[in-house]
Amino acid sequence: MSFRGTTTLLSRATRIKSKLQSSLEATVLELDDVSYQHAGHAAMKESSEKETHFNLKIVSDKFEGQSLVKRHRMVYDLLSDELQSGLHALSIVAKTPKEITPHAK
Amino acid sequence: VGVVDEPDRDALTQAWKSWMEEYIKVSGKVPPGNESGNVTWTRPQPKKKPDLRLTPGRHVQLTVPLEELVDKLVKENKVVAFIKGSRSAPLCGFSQKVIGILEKEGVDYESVNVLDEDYNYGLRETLKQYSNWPTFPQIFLNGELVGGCDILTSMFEKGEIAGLFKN
Repeated sequence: MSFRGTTTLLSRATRIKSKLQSSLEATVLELDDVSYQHAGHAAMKESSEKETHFNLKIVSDKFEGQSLVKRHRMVYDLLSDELQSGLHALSIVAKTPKEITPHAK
Repeated sequence: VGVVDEPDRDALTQAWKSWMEEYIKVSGKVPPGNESGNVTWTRPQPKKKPDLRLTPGRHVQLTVPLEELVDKLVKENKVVAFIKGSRSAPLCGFSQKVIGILEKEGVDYESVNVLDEDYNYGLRETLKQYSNWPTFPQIFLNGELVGGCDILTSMFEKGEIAGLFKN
């Protein structure tokens, strides 16, 4: 485990999960660190940052009636600190519980 | 093998003509590759539109804030994609994906390279504020943000792109 600075003992992944969990009361929350997939491209070559790119799948009632853009904005707003401190990209799949149930009509 | 002394344009043209005539006399046909209308090696792709630039260059002082230029751009053009890199050479996988989708669906769009520090200096930060969206690419339709790569991909998979972005 690496320690970055005196104030952040938890990993970014942990911080993201807990922020989203508490605000959005997600029933499903899967977060994958895919920073390694982007380690070669233009903006990342010179940097030794970790935890820069993630894939997020999140299911929450709070997305009901919201367009995709609004749902993504809700997530981004909760993570604005992370986005300003080294989180470069977040691929988001944001659904409501109804949308993930198979054969739901 | 024929040799042409002093190969200026006229001499070479004359030489070519005489070789052609010889060949035709002997074989009755034009040597392959010398006929007109041969499209084997013509440019396969139509030339892509150039990316739009927001400013004339860093050396020129802006008379209006960059945000206004952005606002004007997205309102005057139906589809605008703010990407990392150019449309012919995107520098990020997400941007590349978006360009791929727009090209595949034959959408008429404008592209802006947010990494261009000469003509689009400060665009990334300005755009993040303007759209209230922290990442790139960003795709605008009729002056409004549609979303980024995820949203566009989801629309593409549902077959919604053509109906929305094209007339």
